[in-house]
Amino acid sequence: MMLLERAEKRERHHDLWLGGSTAAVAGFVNVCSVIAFFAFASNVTGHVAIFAEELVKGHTHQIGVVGAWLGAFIGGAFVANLCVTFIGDRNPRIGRAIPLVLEILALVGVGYYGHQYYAETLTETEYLVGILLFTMGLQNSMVATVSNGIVKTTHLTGLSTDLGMELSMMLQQRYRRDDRLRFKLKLHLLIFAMYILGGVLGGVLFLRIDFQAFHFAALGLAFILVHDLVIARLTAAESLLQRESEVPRFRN
Amino acid sequence: MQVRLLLVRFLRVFVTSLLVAAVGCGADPEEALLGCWSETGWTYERADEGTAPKSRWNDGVRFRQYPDRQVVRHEAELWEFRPRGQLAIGDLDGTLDQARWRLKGRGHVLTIRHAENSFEVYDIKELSPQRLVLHFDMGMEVRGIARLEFSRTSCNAAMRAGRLKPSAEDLALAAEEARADEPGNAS
Repeated sequence: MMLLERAEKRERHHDLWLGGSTAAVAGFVNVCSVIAFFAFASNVTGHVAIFAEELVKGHTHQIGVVGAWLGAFIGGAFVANLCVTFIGDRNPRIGRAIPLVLEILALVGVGYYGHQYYAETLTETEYLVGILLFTMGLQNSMVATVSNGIVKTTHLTGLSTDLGMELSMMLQQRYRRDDRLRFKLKLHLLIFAMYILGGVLGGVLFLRIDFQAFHFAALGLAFILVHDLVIARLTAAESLLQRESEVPRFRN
Repeated sequence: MQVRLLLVRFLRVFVTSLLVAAVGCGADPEEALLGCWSETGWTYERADEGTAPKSRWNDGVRFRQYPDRQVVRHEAELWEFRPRGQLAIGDLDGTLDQARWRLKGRGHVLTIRHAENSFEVYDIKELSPQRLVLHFDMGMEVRGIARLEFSRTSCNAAMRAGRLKPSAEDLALAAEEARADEPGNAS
């Protein structure tokens, strides 16, 4: 299981799958957002810089909008972490599934509204970008919490820094055999590549089918959820069978 | 300790209300854009020598290097931003082009779609009650290569000078008012 697996049972291939698939979704959503709204959905560093710029210029409307967008991303991260840690204490799988379900619903909602009703007014644009930033906050926080901070799929500034450091360390003999470092390099390269791949796919699809492209991003996330639920079922059935076979049978 | 806690709480409420107030009270860029703007300055960046084959551009303007982007040269025009995204562009020779305008992003990107489906994108670099500055948009991280400057002008004066024509809505409204002014229709 990529996402629903308990922290103590997580293995490296879980993080690779989770990082790759969610990075593709993040790249997809970000590029679609830029094409549709001329605003990034996951570039928080950029929005913070813009926020400061608008403060300097004294554009009150823009200060409010960009501030609300930043709040939406933080809000998404807050909700996801709350679900994973608070609800997750009682039922880990439900706690982890809720942010993903919320993100799927939000992306389907943006796709449906954009395709059916979007009249390209500025207010609509501002709200839809806010929703997309909320979904990216949800996703980044959920993935980071579940993987104990190993995987971050929308945070490419940090990832690029890590990648540069890891590549530099790989030049040195003493680090090259470090299994942990090799795994991190592999993971970061995968996230980087999948983000670009998702972005290209998002761009191509959006230009062809407009806002319905967001449904494909939702489909990608739904795949993660369904995959994990199926694996969870199979694992549960397997362990039940194993327990049954271990129980001694007595003849009457 | 309690004072510090109170201060933190106050700051939280203050920042939140500031943001809410800013969204509600700030000048809406869509509203600020409405009306007539007269083009007072235009700069098209020249291409660096030898950066592109000469056969691909004939006037040295750098946007010739971007054949996939629809670029329309605007010079000394008069733009009227009408409600519901309608844009009238009056040329010096009196020709009138109808287009559709929309704002994107945080209100900093102006998109213009013409009837023949050509599409223009500009970054709004300055928008004050009297001045509008647009940069031709080459993407998020690239500086503009065309700069258009406008100053606020009176739509009535432009119409009297023949540079703008009333829209169908304006004509319908005027006809309605004229009918209402007729002696028999006076209520």
